[in-house]
Parts: sequence; C-alpha cells; structure tokens
Amino acid sequence: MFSYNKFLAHPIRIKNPNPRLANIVITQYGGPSGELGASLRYLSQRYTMPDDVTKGLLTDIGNAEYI
Amino acid sequence: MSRAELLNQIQSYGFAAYDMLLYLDTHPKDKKAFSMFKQLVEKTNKLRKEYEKEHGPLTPFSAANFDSFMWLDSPWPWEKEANV
Repeated sequence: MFSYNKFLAHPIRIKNPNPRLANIVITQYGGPSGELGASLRYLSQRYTMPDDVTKGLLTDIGNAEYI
Repeated sequence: MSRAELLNQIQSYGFAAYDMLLYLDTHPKDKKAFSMFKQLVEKTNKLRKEYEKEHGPLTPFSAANFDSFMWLDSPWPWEKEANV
C-alpha cells in the first residue's frame, strides 16, 4: 500500500505557461503507452512473478511512476 | 537552511536513495551499495525530520506529531508558494 509525501520530486517554476505543451506532456504521462498505464501494469503483474527479486523489482518500478 | 534549500536537499537525497533501491533490487548482495543506501536513507530521514519541525507534516500520519491538525495547510506542492 502507498503513502503520500507532500512534496514534489523537484521544484517547478513555470515562467512562460504553455497549455499546448502541457497538454502534450500530460498525454504522454496519462495517455496511450503512458507511464501511468505502465505503472498499473507493473503493480498488477507483480502478483504472478515467480521470485522475490521480480516481485520487488516490479513493485519498485511501478512505484517510481508516482514519484 | 531555508525552506527551499532544505526541501531541495530532501529531494536530492531521496532521489539518490531511490535510485540505489532500484540497483539493489537486481543486486541484493552488493554490500557496498547497501551501505550507501543506508547512508542515503538515514540522511533523507534526518532532513525530513528537520523540515517537519519547521514547516509541518510531510505525510498525513505525521500530522499527529503537532499540536493542531496541519495537514491541510497551504501551500500544496504544485502551488507557486511551495516552489519559491
């Protein structure tokens, strides 16, 4: 299970907002072949892994997409 | 350290620790790597404690360590004020 840390991975200071670019970025993350989908696949498929290394690895990689 | 500097340190050491974690997942017997992992995690935790003392909770349950419920307090991480 997961826990939320109330800080970003690194600071963000947008000097020139660009909604079209923002749209591209968020689509990369949440859209088809995006990291969000990949994360859920990692977290779902770890249950069928045969050993501790692969269970741990898929867990930690899946987790990384939320950092 | 200022709030921003402290937060930057937490972000840096936390990132390094996480990277070391991923390496250890595929090299669990690497003693040197594990020792570095321990150092990085210890440093991150120390910095987090220091940050929380000055600026409030970083996780919902650590809100229990204060005299009032500060979890909802501004700023939230994606807001301008949190990014100095």
